[in-house]
Amino acid sequence: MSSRRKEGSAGHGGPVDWAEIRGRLERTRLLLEEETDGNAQALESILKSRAKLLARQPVKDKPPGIHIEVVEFMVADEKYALESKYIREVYPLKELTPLPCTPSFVRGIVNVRGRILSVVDIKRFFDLPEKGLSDLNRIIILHAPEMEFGILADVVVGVSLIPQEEIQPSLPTLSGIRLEYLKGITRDGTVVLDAGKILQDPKIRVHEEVDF
Amino acid sequence: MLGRLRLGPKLIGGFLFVSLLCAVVGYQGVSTMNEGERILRIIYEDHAIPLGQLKLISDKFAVDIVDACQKMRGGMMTWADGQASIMQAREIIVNEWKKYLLHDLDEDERQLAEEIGALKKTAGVSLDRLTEIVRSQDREQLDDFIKNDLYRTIDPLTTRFSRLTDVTIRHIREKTDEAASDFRSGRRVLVIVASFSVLAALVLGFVLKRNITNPAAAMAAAARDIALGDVNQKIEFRSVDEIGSLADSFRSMIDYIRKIAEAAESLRQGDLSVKIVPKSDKDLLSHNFAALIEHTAKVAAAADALSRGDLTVQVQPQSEKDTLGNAFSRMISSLRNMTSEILEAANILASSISEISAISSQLAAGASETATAVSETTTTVEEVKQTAHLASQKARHVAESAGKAVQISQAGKKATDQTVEGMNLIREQMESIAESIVKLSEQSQAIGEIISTVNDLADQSNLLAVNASIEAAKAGEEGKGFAVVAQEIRTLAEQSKLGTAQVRGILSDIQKATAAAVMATEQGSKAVEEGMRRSAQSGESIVLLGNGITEASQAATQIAASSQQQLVGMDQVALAMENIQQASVQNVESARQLETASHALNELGTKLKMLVSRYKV
Repeated sequence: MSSRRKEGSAGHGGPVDWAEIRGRLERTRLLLEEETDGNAQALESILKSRAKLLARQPVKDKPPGIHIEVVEFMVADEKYALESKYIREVYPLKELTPLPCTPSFVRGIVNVRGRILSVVDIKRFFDLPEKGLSDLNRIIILHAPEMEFGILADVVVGVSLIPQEEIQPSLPTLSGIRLEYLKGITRDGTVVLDAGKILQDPKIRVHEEVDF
Repeated sequence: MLGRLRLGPKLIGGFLFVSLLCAVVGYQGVSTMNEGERILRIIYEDHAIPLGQLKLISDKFAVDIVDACQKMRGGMMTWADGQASIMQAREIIVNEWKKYLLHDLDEDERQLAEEIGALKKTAGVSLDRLTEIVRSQDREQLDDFIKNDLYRTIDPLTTRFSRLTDVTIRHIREKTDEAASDFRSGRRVLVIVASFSVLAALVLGFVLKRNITNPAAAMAAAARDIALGDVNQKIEFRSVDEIGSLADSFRSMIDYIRKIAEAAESLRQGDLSVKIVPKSDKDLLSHNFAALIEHTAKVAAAADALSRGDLTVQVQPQSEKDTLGNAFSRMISSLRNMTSEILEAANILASSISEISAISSQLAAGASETATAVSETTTTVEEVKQTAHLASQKARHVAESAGKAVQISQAGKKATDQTVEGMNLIREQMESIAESIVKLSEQSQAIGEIISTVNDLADQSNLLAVNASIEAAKAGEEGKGFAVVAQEIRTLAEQSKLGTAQVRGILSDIQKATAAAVMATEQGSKAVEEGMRRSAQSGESIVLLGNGITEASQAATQIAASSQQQLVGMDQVALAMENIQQASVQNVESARQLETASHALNELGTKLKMLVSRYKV
């Protein structure tokens, strides 16, 4: 019996060295104290360096040619971009209310600071096949003088500038509704959509009557 | 002569004879009748008719002519009538006379007829004259004629006629008498012939009766006796007819029955050599008798074979009711079973005896071996005696050592009690360790909650940064600096998000480590419990060991005492061994005798086997 116990302790690397363990614990405690109190100087230095960076005069290194400013977003592992001038804001999706008797691309309505907006799934709108999983927890709110609605997105990547010449015309094989709303494709495969056309498109207006 | 004929011809001949006699009698009667008829016809034709004619002629003369003359003379008749009457009368007379003369006349009649013929010639002249007279109608002449001539011519004639009539009547009488005598003689002959016929028929009948009935009656009597069982009958009758053949058959039948009876007699005496030859296919008695003899011969042959020891014979029973056959076949089968059982028993006996013989030889050898072994044992017993002495000394030593061992075991018991107490302490410590670790785990969970709040904040900051850049873009050139700030905020937000992810990973590691620690503590606590249990067990074992050692010490003392007794016993054993040695010498002798006896038995068994094997099964 005693021999078995010996074997067990041997399996864990011999008898426990309590003195060493106590030393390790002490060291950890000291480290933690340094992080919170003693490291205050280090933190300050980081913040200062950042402030310096920010205080720098923006370099007039505007890239040559015309640029368009876009908001990039992901829908089911595909990257799309919309011109930022048509975008009012991005908003986390909360409490989507499904609306009956609407086309399938209208996923429902949502309340954004007191305004009721319809929410459109562009994948369905473009008749693209449903593939991959999507979170769809962001809304990009598009607006025009006479039209305002939200588009569902997984992730909002950010705002970026794209040179006009970098946008390649769409593929000639594309046809139908996708060709109509497509502005072009960038070198890194981002699909640039024409938000102005989408907003003016009569198809986005839903006017259906249902007999009950 | 009758004995040569068969029965049918005999009977037919008898009847033919009687018929012939009847025919003779009939013929005789018929010929007599014919004779009578012939005579009557002669009487009528040759005598009665001429008699009538004579009467007519005579009457014509006497009546017609005379009467006519008288009447004319008296005037009672005319001349013409008279003449016609006379002429008619004369004519009739002439005719009748001619007819009369045609008959067969006797001598005396012929004589008278000639006389009458002569008279008639004279009468004819007279009558011619009368006819002349009548024609002339001269009465006087007629008177004259009547007075003179008439009666003179007529009367002789009338006389003659009368005589002739008498002669004829006489002839008739004669003929009648003759016929009567003929009838009488015929009747006599008839009576004689009929009587003879009757007599002859009777005689014939009697002869036939005797010829048929007597032998039949004799055979019937013989048959009656045979029916009563008396076969010694003699039929003497011999004939070629049916009765004769019946008698022959009867004789052969008696012969047949006698032969069967004789065969039965010889069978009764046990002679099976008799032969019965069946008379025909339908001779059931002979067939059966022959079959019976054959069957009996078979049974006898089977019995003979049995007597010679051959049990393989088969007797087929003739039927269900064949008591002898069935019994015999059962007897054979039971004999066969019995013999085979005996054979088997003899075999077993023989083999057993040979085994006994072998065993007795072994026994003899064993007995001698035993004798040597016994002498060896005697020496061994001496050695054992020495050993027992030694054992008694050793047992005493053991008892002393056991006493020391008891003290040691008590010390061991105390040590284990202390161990159990230590173990208890360890267990309590373990429990407090487990509790501390669980607390640690709960605290790390709280950290996790805080981290998720930080994550949420970073998320929102990110969005805010994006919106800020959008707003900055809207502001155009003025908003450029703000766009950079917004970009920087976004970067910070992303860094915080990464930090939270790292913290979450570390927390998860801590969670795992605490879980492992809790498990290890649990195992340690269990091990401690196990250790406690084992310690308690070892304490009990030590106590038991102490008890056992105490008992062993007592036992060793007892062993010491008993080995002393053993020593005394061994002396007695040595003495007994001496006796056994003597007995085993006797044993060897007996075994040798047994061996001889079993050899004799073995020979007997072989003989028995040979005896039984003579039976074929």
